[in-house]
Amino acid sequence: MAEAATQEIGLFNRREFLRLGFWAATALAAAEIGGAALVFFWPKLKAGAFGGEVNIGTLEEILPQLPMDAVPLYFREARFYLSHVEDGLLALYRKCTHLGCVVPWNYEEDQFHCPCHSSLFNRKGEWQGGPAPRPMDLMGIDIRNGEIWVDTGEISQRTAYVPSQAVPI
Amino acid sequence: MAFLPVPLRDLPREINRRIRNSRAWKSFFRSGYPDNRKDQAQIVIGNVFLHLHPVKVPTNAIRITYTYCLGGISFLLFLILTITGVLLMFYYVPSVERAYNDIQALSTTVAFGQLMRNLHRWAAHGMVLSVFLHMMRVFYTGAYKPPREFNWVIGVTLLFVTFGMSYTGYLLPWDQLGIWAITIGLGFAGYTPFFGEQAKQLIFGALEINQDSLLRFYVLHVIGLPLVAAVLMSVHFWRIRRDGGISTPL
Repeated sequence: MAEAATQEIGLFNRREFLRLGFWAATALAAAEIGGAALVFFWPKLKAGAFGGEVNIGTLEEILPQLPMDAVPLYFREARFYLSHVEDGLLALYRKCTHLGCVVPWNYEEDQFHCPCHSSLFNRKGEWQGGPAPRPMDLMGIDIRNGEIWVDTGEISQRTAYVPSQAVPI
Repeated sequence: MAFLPVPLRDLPREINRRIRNSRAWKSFFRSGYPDNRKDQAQIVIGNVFLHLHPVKVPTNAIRITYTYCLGGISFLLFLILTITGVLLMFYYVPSVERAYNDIQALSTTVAFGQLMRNLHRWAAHGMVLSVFLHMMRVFYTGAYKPPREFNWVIGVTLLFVTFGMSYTGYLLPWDQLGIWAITIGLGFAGYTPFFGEQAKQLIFGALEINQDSLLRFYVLHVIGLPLVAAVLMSVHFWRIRRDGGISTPL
């Protein structure tokens, strides 16, 4: 390693300053490319797919299929059940709050019955039995101009059912 | 500033010294900075990338009006095509249902997608041109003459591989332009003496351009031909050194 025998002025001599400048410019260019790569690779969530706000139809379309206390409607692509209870509509995230299995509706038992460890939930997603530590998680429902929008990117946990969780119709 | 091991003004130098004396640095670079001709030559010979290149190049041989840097430009374009091509592969599926829409999505919704696609397109056109001009330069300067005649053969092969990469890439957007251009090529292949029909089916995977043709062209375009090109290029560069260095103007 040959040290340049140059006059010492301030923090750097000329060679060190130029070298630092070279590395700083290289780091800047690398950061730009890295940032651009991040933007390039960032996925565009398709409208209507899981992770974004999903329009599942108008109230006039949905309600005839889903009278109060009917079997919850399953939206497979958006990964939730739409349930109609006495206080309004609930969007129940299908993932079991125990270990994350997909919870199906059990028609014979008339409740959600997780196939993995038999966690049980009712129409409101309330815990009925099994190892699940809390009720089923909720997605936000917004009714705009009679159309039902479910925000599948906004999943909230809860400890119990309260009527304000349901969206009145 | 008592917590600093050295005065502040010596800090950059101290950091530099510690990095260069670190075990990781030394294991990576092994030797120090080459500040004399002998060490510099040693590093070019010993480095896996640099060893393809001659240790010394005559000054008059790299005069811009002698080589026009056409071989170097071709290689640079190949590198650009590799990088942009890999990026395009993240958003392109070689299926007749998806290919056209994927390209449209690349151009309209993917950030920098249009930039990557156009870089790939123009670099591809540029590479065909620069490889051809490089061959012309080598011909007119007589650089193909012994002992370099075999490198000329490799070069001509590389020209055809370049044409192949350009041609196979033409079909991938799955637009009318590409499909009918490749259909013309399908007709050409049919005129091969003695085994025209067989050549057609072998190259295009079908009797008309369809999903099988698209997949064949895709695989050839993204891995088959570039791999052949990369190997041939390594030999092409290495032979410049083996054949006595770059040719010089008379």
